[in-house]
Amino acid sequence: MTSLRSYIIKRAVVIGVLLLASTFLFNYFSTKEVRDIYHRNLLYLSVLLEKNFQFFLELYGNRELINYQLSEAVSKIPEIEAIYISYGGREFVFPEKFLRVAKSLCRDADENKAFTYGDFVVVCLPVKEEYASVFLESKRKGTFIVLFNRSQEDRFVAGWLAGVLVLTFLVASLGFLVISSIWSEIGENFTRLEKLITLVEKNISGEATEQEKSKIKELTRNLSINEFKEVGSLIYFLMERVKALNEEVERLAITDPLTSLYNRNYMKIFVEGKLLPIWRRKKFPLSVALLDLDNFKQINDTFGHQKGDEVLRKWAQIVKEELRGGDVPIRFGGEEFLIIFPYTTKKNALNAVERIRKRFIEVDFGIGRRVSFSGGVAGYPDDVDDLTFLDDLIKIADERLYKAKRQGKNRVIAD
Amino acid sequence: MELEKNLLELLKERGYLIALSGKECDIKLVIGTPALVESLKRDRFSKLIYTFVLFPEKFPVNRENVYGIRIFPLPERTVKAFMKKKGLEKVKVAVPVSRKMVPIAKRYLPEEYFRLIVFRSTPTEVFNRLSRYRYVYIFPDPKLLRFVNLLNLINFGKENDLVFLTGLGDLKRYGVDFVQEVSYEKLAAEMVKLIESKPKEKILPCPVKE
Repeated sequence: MTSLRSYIIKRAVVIGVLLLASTFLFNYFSTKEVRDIYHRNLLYLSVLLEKNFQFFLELYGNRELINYQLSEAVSKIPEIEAIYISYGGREFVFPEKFLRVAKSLCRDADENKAFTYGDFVVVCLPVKEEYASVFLESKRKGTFIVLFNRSQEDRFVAGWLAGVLVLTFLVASLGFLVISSIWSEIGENFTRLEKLITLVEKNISGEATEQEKSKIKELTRNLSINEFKEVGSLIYFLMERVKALNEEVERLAITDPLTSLYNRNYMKIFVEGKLLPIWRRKKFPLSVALLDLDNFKQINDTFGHQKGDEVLRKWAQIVKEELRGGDVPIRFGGEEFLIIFPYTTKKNALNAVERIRKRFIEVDFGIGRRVSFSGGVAGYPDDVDDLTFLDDLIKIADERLYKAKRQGKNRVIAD
Repeated sequence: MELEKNLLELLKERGYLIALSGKECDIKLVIGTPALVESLKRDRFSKLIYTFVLFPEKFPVNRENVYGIRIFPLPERTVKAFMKKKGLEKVKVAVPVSRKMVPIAKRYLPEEYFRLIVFRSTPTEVFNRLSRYRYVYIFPDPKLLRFVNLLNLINFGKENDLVFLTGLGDLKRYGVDFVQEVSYEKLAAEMVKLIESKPKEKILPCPVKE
């Protein structure tokens, strides 16, 4: 496994090396080709000169005139160092000092050729009799030799090489700019996506701060490339979905499915994890009420469990509606609800339960009689001095509940 | 047909050097003087057919199974064709030739129609004599056919209302008035025909364009 960054760097290095190698090879071969082209051009130039001088020789043949024309050609064309002509047994050369060299270079040249010799490029052309008709066979009449200096060639090749290098550099720079601009955009998106994934992991595991949570949305929004945005949105959607599922699982774990009241699991978590630690610090008044439906078994047996469930659901609904947000209603047993009233005196708790009882007795379940519940209320500091064990308070409320039952049901007792 | 087509292409390209490559063949078709000379010297063949040779009489071609086709029509034929075209009875045609070419020229140019005007190095030497004639035949003389010499002659002729005749097709572009030129199509066809046939004549006349 390798990271995207190191993968890209490795690839960039390989491409850079290949680019350098190809530039070197291209320059090597193109320079060779340029030299060949240059030599071919020298050959064409020599052919033109040769034709020119052949006509001169045919027309005039005057030695002084030919020598003058040779010197003119040498002086006017800076690349030319010397010209040698042998034609019909006569020899002409300018400058004279090259006579020996020139003659030795192109003995028996049967065809046009150009080659390098020391500091010179030598062009040898066999001079043939030119006829007006193709039906006559041309015969060789002499040799035409031109010595070109290589400084011009070197300048020409150096210019070409510099041009190629500059062009290569420009193309490579342009390519680098294009790739780096593309990469910066993609890299930026990758970085955001990477951050997004880290934050999402933290968020799912519940370690994310509020600032980090809001950052997740911002990062998803800031992805500038469509495909990345889609991936980001998918991650965000999946995260929300996981969170919702977690919440649902959590809710199901602490909620009674029939009444939607909290179950005993939640009670344990709430009491031990939240309520008691705070109470120990603040010692606030707290009350509990234990409620039990009257004659519920009879309803179940007579009207079936469906009716029984309906009664329980309605009872729970009224309980929830009559309580404050901070009160905690719990399905404590089959037809038994426990309500924890934080920051509530016993008297106020009793009032709340009474409201519930009165409202509940009014409900018509279509069974020919009203349904009631009995309840017992206990509170700190009225009934206990300490809440280290909430069970003690619940136990007192339980005793009072039975007392209410014994006294004839449909009542709530707090003493 | 394929051979004839290839031959036609070779003739049009003046491919006489290419013909040298087929040394192992029984029947040889050679194009150009160097190819003929080489073949006559070295090769063994059952039949040799040549063309593109200006003066085949200069070479030992009078041998069994050696046949040739002239590459330019004989001057007399050209002059007759010219007279017929112009409706002329009889003309005297001047022919400038270099001294070296006189022997061969005499074989090609019968006195009935032609007057040889001999020069040593350039035809300018004989311009005065030429101006006495109306018609000038351009013979395939290497000295005469040098660019400079030919151009000088044509320029002089134009200035003096001379009429030029020739059997060399490519001289048309220099302003020669009457050209009876070889037909490459017919030449190729005749060469192919010669492979099978054995005519009495050893050197066949040049097939010309109508």
